[in-house]
Amino acid sequence: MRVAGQAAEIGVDVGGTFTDVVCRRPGQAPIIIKVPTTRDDPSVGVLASLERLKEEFQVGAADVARFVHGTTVATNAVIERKGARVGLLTTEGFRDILEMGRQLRRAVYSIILEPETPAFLAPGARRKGVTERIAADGSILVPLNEESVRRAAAELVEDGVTAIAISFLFSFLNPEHERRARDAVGAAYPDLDISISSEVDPAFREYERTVATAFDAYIKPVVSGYLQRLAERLEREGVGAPLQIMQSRGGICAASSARLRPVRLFLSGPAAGVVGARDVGRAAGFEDLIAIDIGGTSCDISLIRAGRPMLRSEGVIGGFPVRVPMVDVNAIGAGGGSIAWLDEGGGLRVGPQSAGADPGPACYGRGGEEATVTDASLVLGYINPDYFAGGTVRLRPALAREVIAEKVAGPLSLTVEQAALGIHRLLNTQISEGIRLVSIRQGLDPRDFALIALGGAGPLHATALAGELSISTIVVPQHPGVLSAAGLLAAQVEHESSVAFPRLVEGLAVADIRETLAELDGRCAALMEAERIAAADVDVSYFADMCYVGQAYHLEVSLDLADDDPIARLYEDFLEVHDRVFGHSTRSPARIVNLRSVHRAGGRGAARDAPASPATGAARKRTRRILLPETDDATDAAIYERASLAGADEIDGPAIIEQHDTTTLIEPGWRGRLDGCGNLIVTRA
Amino acid sequence: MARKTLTLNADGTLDGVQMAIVNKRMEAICAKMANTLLRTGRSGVLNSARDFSCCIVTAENRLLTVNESLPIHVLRGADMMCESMQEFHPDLRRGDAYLHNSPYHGCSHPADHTTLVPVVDDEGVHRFTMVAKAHQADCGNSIATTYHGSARDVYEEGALIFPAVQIQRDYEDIEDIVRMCRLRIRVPDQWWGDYLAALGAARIGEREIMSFGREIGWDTLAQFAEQWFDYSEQLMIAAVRKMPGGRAVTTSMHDPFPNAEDGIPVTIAVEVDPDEATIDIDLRDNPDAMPCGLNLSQACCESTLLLGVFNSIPDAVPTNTGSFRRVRMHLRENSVCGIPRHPTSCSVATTNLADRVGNAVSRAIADLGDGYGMASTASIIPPSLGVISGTSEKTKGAYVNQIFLGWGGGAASAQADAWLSIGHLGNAGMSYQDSIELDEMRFPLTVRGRHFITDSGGHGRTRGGAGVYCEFGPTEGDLEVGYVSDGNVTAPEGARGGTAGGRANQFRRDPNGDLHRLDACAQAIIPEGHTIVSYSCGGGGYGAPTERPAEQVAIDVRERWVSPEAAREAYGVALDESGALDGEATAQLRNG
Repeated sequence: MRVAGQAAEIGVDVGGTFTDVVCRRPGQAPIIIKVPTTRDDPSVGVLASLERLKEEFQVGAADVARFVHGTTVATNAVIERKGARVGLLTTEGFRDILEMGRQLRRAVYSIILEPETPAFLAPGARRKGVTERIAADGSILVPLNEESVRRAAAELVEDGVTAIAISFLFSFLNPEHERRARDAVGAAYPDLDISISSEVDPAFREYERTVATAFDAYIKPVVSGYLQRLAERLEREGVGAPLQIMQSRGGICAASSARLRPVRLFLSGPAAGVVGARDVGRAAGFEDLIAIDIGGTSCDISLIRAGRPMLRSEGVIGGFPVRVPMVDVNAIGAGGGSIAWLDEGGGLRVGPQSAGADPGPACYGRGGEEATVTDASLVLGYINPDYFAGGTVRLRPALAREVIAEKVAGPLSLTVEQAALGIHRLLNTQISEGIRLVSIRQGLDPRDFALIALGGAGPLHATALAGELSISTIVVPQHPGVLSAAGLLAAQVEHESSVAFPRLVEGLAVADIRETLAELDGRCAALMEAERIAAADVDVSYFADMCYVGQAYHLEVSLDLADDDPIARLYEDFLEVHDRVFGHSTRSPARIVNLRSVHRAGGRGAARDAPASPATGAARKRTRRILLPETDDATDAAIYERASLAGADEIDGPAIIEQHDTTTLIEPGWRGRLDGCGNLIVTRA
Repeated sequence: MARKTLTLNADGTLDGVQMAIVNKRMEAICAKMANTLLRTGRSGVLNSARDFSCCIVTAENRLLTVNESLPIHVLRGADMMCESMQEFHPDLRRGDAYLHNSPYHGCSHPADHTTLVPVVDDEGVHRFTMVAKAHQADCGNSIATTYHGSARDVYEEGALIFPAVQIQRDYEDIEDIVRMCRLRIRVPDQWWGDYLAALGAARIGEREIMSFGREIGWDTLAQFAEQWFDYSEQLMIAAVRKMPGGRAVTTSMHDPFPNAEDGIPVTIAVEVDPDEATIDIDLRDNPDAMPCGLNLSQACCESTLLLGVFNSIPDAVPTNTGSFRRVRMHLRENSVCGIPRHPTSCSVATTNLADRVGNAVSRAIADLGDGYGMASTASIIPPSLGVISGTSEKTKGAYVNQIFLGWGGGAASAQADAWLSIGHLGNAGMSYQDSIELDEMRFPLTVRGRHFITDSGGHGRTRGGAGVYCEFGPTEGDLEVGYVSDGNVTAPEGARGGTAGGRANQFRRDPNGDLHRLDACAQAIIPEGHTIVSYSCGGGGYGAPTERPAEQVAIDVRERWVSPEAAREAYGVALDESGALDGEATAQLRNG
């Protein structure tokens, strides 16, 4: 039944295969739908989902109060090499910065390697030096020769470039030359997209800044065109709410702002997933979470601390490090489709190669000839051959046994069951080591966290991983498959601005900082105002990137201006963070590298208002023989249907809980129960 | 709370799964050590250039696990250093730490201060040694460089030598040693910060392996080591069996340097026996040690030989004592590239002559069969990688540090164009190049230009990496630049018909813009208003240039790696005025 004028909030996350949609209305159960992603133009799929909402659920365009979108269009442009033809202007004498890079080989003895630097963005002929030079103190050493800028731009345009990136030395200290160069190019060629490094990434290290700027220019036409097209179509359909986009940091902003700085959208989709996980965890009562999302080919690991996704200042896009802040999502090549193989020394390996979805694991019966983790799961009895992916794929256990016998068990003189257990344990070790590395890099102990298990295979490995990491609580959300779409609706509007601030802490006055922060606040406030968000609704927080004098890597430290002595407090907090992350700190001189202001507004829980599913009390279906580590014989495990679980049910391992999009394995020593929001909480029995 | 992750087989061994699991943990421990060193080091050598290494050595002094370290630092030597630690300190206790930099006892060269932390279990048994090696910005040499090329002996070199000297007891510093270092090392605070970083790394490794040993049992871990060595040897056997058999002798020549005025000839014989799965490398036919700083330490000599081998086999073979068993190295005592006797100076042991030796191994393997081995990587150390020093307001007094502004080009391999800027053979592309902005903010210097040099990569079916032009000078006072640049005379050689890479060169540019050539090995003083101009070597090419696809050569020209002239003369490729391939003229050049 349609209620006119209902305030529907819609989150649309475009994934590689499916476009997931979550629609929330006050007091009603959320609507969850999936439509196929239209890769050529994802906005077609987005519109199709609106159509379905209207037809099947009577949610019309006029009912939409919010429309939040997560997109992979930026990353796809890089992976598919479909960005702009970019020309790069640099300081004369430094045209090769983009290609020279830092020179760090990823595999020390490897003969064939992918290049370290994204030189494809602007190969040799499309990099030009122009006459200018700013000194290390920001003063002008060589004045900008605008004629040299126009000449270089003319040559690049002649070469067919459609976008220009400008990255001069020390522009983060003095952006004047870059701005003037941009104006000169813009005046001569108004149709060119231009990105300047002092706006994209105003921080020291010329290579990293140049890469971020070149990527920004490269994806700008693609992202801008897509967002404009989508906004127009939504408007034409009658959606009055402004289009909001998830950014890599985990905050949303208006599409009109997002278009200006497309380099901030690389992790739009994954960031929404982390926010979704945060929200589910928070509803279940956990503020510190490790999220693992295990799919077919990879496992994404991310950390949430004190209710906030942990961020990193540099991520990897299409194999290249890019310095833009993003949620700290770490992908490792370990998933259900990961192939188990033996190296020449007879050692068992799992991944990083994956059988993918086609042909997929041998048990799919589509011609897969490699033993995969999913085959092992089937042999061990963990997954139901007739109920995999909701019964859409009928699995064939005989094929799984056969391939594991041939590829692993036979050569290692193990039984098929031992080999399958081995594959599982190796995968679990790889993932738990991945989790350890991520947490140790932040100086955090995994034992202090709850594990939130996502993806088709996450809940299958969760108790084993928690066991290895001494984690005591696991959360399996009610709908682990659409967490990104839900996360879109839970995210806050966020605007962030930072500036290089190379100053010693010693002798620094609060007044010195206030002026700079006020400038940053001004930029953020303007963006909030453009989104019609009242200043009173905005939370402001400040951060300083800091290090000891002489160090080259910095740590982010919260800056509390309300403290009696903010600078002294900042230094003490730096010591604490340094000690946490690196295991030691001394009271030696420190300096600030960058200052940052973050403005946030809105956002509320998505998981809390999702009513728990009605219990039928007939959850337990039967038992199945399964094999567990460190046991010689098969054990009977009770099999439950997730949708039929009642709030009072307590499920002791060994048990398996099946649902259409995932399978949860509860090992002996663990106990599962539902919480009030429909999440499955697994704790030590 | 952690569940027991391993149960041994009935015969007390680990199965393949368990091996893989334990190995993952050991690698992760090394990675954590390295992360600590990188992020907390105070000198640019560590935190910008990553000139450090971490590894785990067994109680029997065998190299077990290495993670992303500089090969010249750790393939051999960590084992020998641990051996001398045990010899000099038979009663190792928990809480001990030892400082080691003696090239006569297993260290690479005196600038590589190494912290050794013995891991002692709850029963007091020494189980492993955690090794963190960090190149110092200064090590107390008689001149302000860690590479003293002309030093006649260790006395003229002047470095403080620590043959496994105890620096911590019960987790507390032995202040005598710290005070000695502070009095003899320039920029003592920087040294102190770097010492803390290396010690912190070794201690984090100790903490992690202690918890792992308690978790799975020390005997299980010892059993793992034995099996891991055997497994690594099996992988090595499989790799050597695929190599072409035979014996090849290659030569090279280090440029003339002070006290080695005729240059240093190097001769290497490599014999591969695929049936026995062994590689023999004979270095005995070489000159005696010379009165200069270029002599190799035994650790560097053996490491560079192994590096030449590992660069020529699949990278899946782990580098540890097990895989090394298949390589037999024949060295001579008191040779310039063998086993040095005190007081021979090994100040520059990690780079110049070591690169000549290791490159010769790769080229010998290339000589054995097309599709194997590599050309030579760039020779170094040009001024763009020099040790800079001086006094300035900006640094609030004296400063000394090595800069990494322009590396040399990589070697072309049988399979692919070179890794662009490999650094040099011994660091194998594992060191970062400096950020110009970071160097200019830290030191009173300005960089006038840095870019690749066209035609400096050796031509070949696969191309060598390009050399780098770099020009810089002081902004305040005199700038002293110490460098030892090999490759001014003998360029990095090509392999199997590939040509040599571009030569190194160096000049001082005066305020009028005139260039004055500088010696290849010098402590150059660059006054304010002047600059130093550095050309680093390119790497050698592999295979005949005329076998390189013509379309690829056209791209090389467009991207400025190859000039149109070289395209025509070396590659036999003609381009029209727009830079497009002229197929007809090319066919004539190549077939005519």
